[in-house]
Amino acid sequence: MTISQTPFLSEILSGDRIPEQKLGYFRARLSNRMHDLILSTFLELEKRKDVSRADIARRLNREPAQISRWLGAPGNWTLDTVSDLLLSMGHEPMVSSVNLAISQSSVGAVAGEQTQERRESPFVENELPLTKPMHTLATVATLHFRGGARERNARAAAQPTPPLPQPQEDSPVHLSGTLPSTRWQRTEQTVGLGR
Amino acid sequence: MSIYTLIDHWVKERKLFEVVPALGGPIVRRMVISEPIQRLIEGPWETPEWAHRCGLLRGDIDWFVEGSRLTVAKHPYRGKTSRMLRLDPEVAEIWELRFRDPEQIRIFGRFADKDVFIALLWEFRGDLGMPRRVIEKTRPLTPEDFPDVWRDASIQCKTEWMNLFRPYEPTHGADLHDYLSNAVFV
Repeated sequence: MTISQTPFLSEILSGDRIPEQKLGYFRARLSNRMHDLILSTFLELEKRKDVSRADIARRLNREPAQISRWLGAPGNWTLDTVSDLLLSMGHEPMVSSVNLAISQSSVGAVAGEQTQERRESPFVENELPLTKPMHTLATVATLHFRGGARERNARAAAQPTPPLPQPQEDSPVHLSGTLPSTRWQRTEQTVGLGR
Repeated sequence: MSIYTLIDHWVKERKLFEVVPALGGPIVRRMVISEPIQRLIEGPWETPEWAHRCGLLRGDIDWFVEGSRLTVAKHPYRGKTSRMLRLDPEVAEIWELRFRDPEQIRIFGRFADKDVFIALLWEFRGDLGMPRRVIEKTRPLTPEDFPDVWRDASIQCKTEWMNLFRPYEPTHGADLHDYLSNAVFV
């Protein structure tokens, strides 16, 4: 038995009142995407030694612990939080939407047929459905970021952006000593939030 | 018989439920949940507020299943805003998934394999209680410093696991990436 066998978007696409549960689902989805956008940006810049938590804290006049909390999980972020964090790293969000009606038709009844194989994202970016404009309001789905500094943009244009840091199987994140009495430890080369 | 066969058996028997992303996203990390957690996700919900809270939870669970980046606490008593941590004592291999505001929910479970999480029970964070006294600055916290409900949750988690998967042990890893892909410490 699997979860989510029902057409999840039915009420949303029918034009009926959207149930609270679906509102919550998409709010969490957006919040998580915002958080991932900021965390990815931070990790990339931190790897290049362009920014640190202390830098962000100083620029936003906040305690470093607050920055750590924000980077750990979205919590009760506001749009202001998103703007401030990205701005402190010299970025701003770029927002687009997807048409859920189109995305659903491309997915079909996939929720009941899901396999473990990785799928391509069913969503079509920047669709502007002129016939059903209400669907465009369903979610802000895709977030990009762009550099705030002209020099950074010029530099980025001149050379391909390096890929975001991804955890590797041979990452030096490890437990010290032998199991089971040890705790997580991290060596200096670890990609992470710590400084 | 492998632990995967057992998982499939319990899913078929409707003792466990496999989470599939609501919008048909990829399953990068498997999450298999117990019936109490399934009721959170599928409803019915008593109030609109509870339905909304459970919708948020479903969004966060899909986030896990779709393989998005996870923040993990390096230490059981720190990293309070991480999405996931391993409880003390770590040898028990009980992990906590943290779902934050508005009404914080904790899901407890164990890894059957890398990126295969068996979610067995849930609690409100508020019901779990805080440390009996603030002593972290003088010595490290231990499980004994927390209300018994934490210990009870841990024991229940282990008991559920034994009932379902004995003789199989949960995954013991030497590295964060033995448990999770696309995860970072905070």
